[in-house]
Amino acid sequence: MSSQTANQTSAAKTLEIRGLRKRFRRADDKVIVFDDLNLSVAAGEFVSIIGPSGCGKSTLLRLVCGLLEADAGSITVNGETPAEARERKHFGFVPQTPALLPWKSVRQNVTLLQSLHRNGRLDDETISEIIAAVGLSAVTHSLPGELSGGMQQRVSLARAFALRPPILLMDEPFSALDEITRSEMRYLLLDLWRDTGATILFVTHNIEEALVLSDRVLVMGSKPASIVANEAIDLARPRTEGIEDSADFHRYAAKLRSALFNETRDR
Amino acid sequence: MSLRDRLIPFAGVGSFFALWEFFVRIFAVRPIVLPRPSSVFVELVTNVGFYAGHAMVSLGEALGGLVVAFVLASIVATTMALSSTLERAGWPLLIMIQATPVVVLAPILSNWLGLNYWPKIVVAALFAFVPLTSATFTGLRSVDPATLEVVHSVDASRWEVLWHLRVPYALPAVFSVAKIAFTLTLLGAVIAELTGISTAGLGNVFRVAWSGSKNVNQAWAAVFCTALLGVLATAAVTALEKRMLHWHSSQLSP
Repeated sequence: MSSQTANQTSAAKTLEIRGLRKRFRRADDKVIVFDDLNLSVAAGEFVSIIGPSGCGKSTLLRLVCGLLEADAGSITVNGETPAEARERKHFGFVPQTPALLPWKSVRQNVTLLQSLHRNGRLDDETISEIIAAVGLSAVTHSLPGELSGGMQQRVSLARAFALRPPILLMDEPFSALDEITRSEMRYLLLDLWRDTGATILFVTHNIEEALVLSDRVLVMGSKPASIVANEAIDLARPRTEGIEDSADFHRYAAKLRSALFNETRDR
Repeated sequence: MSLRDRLIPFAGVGSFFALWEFFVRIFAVRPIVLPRPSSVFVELVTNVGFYAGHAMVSLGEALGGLVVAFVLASIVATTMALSSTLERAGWPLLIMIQATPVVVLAPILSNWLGLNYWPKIVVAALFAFVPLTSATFTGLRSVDPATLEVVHSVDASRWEVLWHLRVPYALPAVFSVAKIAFTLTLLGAVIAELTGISTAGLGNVFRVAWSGSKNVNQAWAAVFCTALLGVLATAAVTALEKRMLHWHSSQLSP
């Protein structure tokens, strides 16, 4: 089993978590505990976190984003604290639900975050390009209620990428979609990521999804919440549909599955 | 909506009055107990200008009360939604106001404010203030938590969250109560007039008609007028709601 501290040694670290400690009671009364959690993510790296429900994956994203405060330890994002990075709009946050404003059009939703806090308005043409990149040019002026679940999630992706953030935090963004839409969204996300070179921290409970997307997959366990496996995914890029059938893919999937299920059994 | 669908509400009201008329005629009920609706309608139509004039007075007081209640409710609800300390301090006061028999205050208010429209506006506003505050507060707190996290991820300020998220999210709840609130302020205004601090308005028409000579048809015509105003007030708020909340699921046809 890889150690928690066995991280990549490349110089340009976008995200550094050292000795993170947090005790947190969720709304459903489940207690999440982090004790001495360490993690580094290199610039431009796509890292997925998988783990059983309630192990603290989403909590970790919220700690990185500064939406929750750690009890001890440090988190730095490009050398800054989460609060500083948030202040400079360095995070693109994509939650599980599309979280769109139902009274605003697709375009207004995509530009919403730019007008908040500090103005970083992109020109009209760039916004049109971003909307085209997620395949929504035809419905630019529609309201979210008129779109399918998959299209709404595309708006949510466009909204995050429109900030041009150096780091994207994604919390199971495709988990509510049907299997076919889900698969389309994975490759759409890869296209968007390739064009921007952003660092992505992606939470999922789907091994296949983690493998298709990531450079590295972390398996998280609970009690205390910790990283129990750290697997570099050496599959060629660009990844295209059909990769799920390759022998290497199956080998990785088996390895991650056993790490994940060992963890679940131990509890 | 088909013509049939449009006519159904009118058929309901029509049947109600038809049954009433039938009952009063069959059992020969004395008009002082319950008049025939037809004779009340005749009174209403023959003196339509008289009733319209008094209706405008009551409507003006009710509208004034609604505006005052709405402005106060917005301020109080926003303050309570932004601070949990003020929220806890506020609720007992609101419940106290709601439990106060406001009508009893009408003569006192008249002493303070004079024999003009202000005491009626205050009573009308007090009738609607607590329901409006409560609905606005609940609405302001009903923001989707995921959307809240998204805007916090770019460090949006309290006021930005209030303006861009909380206020629009509160509108459906506010409108659903505003429909009732308008009829409440109307009742507040008419009841305040009934207490004798008024020289005009539908409540005053009723009071004058009922005391002394007992002009039954005139008294009932004032009651009908008040009910009709209430229906029109609700329709007006509903029309405004349709315009402003076209995006909301409650406005989508099934």
